[in-house]
Amino acid sequence: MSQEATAVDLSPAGELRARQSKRWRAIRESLTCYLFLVPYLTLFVVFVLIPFFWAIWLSFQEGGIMSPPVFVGLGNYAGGLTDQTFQTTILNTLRYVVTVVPAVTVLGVLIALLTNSSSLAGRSVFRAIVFFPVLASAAAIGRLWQYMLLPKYGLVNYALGFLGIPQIRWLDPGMAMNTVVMVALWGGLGFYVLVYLAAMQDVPADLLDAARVDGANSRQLVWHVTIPCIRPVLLFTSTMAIIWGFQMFDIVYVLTNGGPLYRTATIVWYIYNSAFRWDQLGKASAMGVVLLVIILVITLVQRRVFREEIQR
Amino acid sequence: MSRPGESVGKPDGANAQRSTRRRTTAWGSVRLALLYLCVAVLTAIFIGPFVYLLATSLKQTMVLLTYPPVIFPKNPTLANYVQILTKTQFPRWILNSAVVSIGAVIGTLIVCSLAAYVFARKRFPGRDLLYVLILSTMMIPGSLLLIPSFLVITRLGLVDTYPALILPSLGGPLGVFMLRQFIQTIPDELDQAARIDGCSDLGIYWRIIVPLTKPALATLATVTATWSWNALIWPLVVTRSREMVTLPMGIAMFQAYYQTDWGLLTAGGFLSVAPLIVLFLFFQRYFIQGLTAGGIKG
Repeated sequence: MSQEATAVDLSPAGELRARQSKRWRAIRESLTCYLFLVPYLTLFVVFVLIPFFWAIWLSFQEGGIMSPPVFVGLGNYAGGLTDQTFQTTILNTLRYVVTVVPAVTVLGVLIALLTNSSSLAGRSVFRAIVFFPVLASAAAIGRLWQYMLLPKYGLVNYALGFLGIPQIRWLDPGMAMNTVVMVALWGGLGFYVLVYLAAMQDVPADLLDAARVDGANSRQLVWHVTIPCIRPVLLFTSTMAIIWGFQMFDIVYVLTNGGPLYRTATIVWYIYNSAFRWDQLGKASAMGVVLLVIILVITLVQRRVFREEIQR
Repeated sequence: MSRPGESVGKPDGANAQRSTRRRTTAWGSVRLALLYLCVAVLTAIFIGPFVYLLATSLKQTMVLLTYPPVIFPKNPTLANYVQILTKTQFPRWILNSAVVSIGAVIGTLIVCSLAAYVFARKRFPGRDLLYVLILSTMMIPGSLLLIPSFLVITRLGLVDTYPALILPSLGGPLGVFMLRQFIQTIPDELDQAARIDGCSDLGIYWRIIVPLTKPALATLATVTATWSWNALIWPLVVTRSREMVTLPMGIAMFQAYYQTDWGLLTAGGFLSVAPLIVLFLFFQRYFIQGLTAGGIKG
């Protein structure tokens, strides 16, 4: 490039030289920009972009970490869709999502409404307390609840005994998924409460006052003013909840490790085990691609709904 | 959604007046009592398990599994803490988690702010395409990248090292996105003035952008710290030896390494939860901003 620059200097036309030097400056400017980007882009390419395409490539292959890969085309996808365990994990994950998402939204809004009440002293303290579980690792949460949910010696069954509820075997096949949902709710609800609270504090006070002057009672205020105002936030967080729900892993891994009888095995749990316990990288990658497609579809639906929402 | 102009000019007394009026009626006081009852129950549900975690960690082994369960031990003891900190590899795991979290925070802040600065302030060929490409990777589930990322780490010969635990988290799109959004809200008169005074790009970045971006950097730091302190699946994949185990992984795998001793486990759990809660109490504002910006659980 410097050669080009010298060549320009020899040219007789001054105007051309000026233009060339301007161009040279622009190139230098862009180079500086890319220098700033080098650290991030390197990591992005090495740990996001390359792995992304590699994963797709892997999904068409068979083979483990040590064994040589064999190209099998769509074999992993065909195999995955007929694989009964994979079907189970998809159903389990769906079950988890359809229970956790409404629960988190409804309870989140209710607790946020409660906390938003102006007559409540110590609001900020309560807000912090609700948020504490969000800070704890799923590993710690899972272990703690394991201890509290022990069938015989556990605190939860003991406390329920006072209410006349007989002992519940929390981690039995029929119950385990509900337990996972419950623990995940306890661990995640604080996030939603805080987001909804922030949204509720943005509800214009005039709107609430006007409705009150018109004689609306507090239930009407909630239904006809607060909820419509926070609708976009509700839509956004429930989409996020769905996307995160489909990626459930940590709590399941610690609390039940997919068991008993695969009743709590989620998609990501199966991907993790297929790859790193059963050494089936191709199959695991194909399931990862299926998960990606699910998430893409949800995101696109959300975009569409959002656009309609704004147009209304 | 918020219309800032609207709440201006509202008499301050209106709110107080209304609430006193409500409080004087009988129905109002019943409602208030119900409200506090709900709050009390919820507080118990959310903080109770943490109290129980601490209480259990102070129990002697013989009262860990009893019926009825002991809630607060009569003779609290620090024996579990002494044992976990001297007889197991727990201290090493704390160190590992600290190194990984601090490394991830510092790395993310530097790498992402450098990138966010040029994305927000400069024009160069390929900028918009590159930015869209980075943002579009937000939708990729981490579990899809898990296997090839592990293969990349293997090829680089980094398995079972700190870089393997730290580096992959730095390339994510969230940090660049958050910081770029923030830098764009800063008026660029200051950079222009500095440029006229002969300040270089690096100078503008370091002397003007970084100081003005501090709130966003703090927010990003809290999100990154929480995320990497609690990360489980990646450490599970990329560590081999017991020396490189991180805290969540250690707690998850405790049974495999030592037998299930609930006293030790709860002591470990408490030690792993406490630092973030303390951090949260000090930097609540940034935590809350961070979660509305990107979401800690993501």
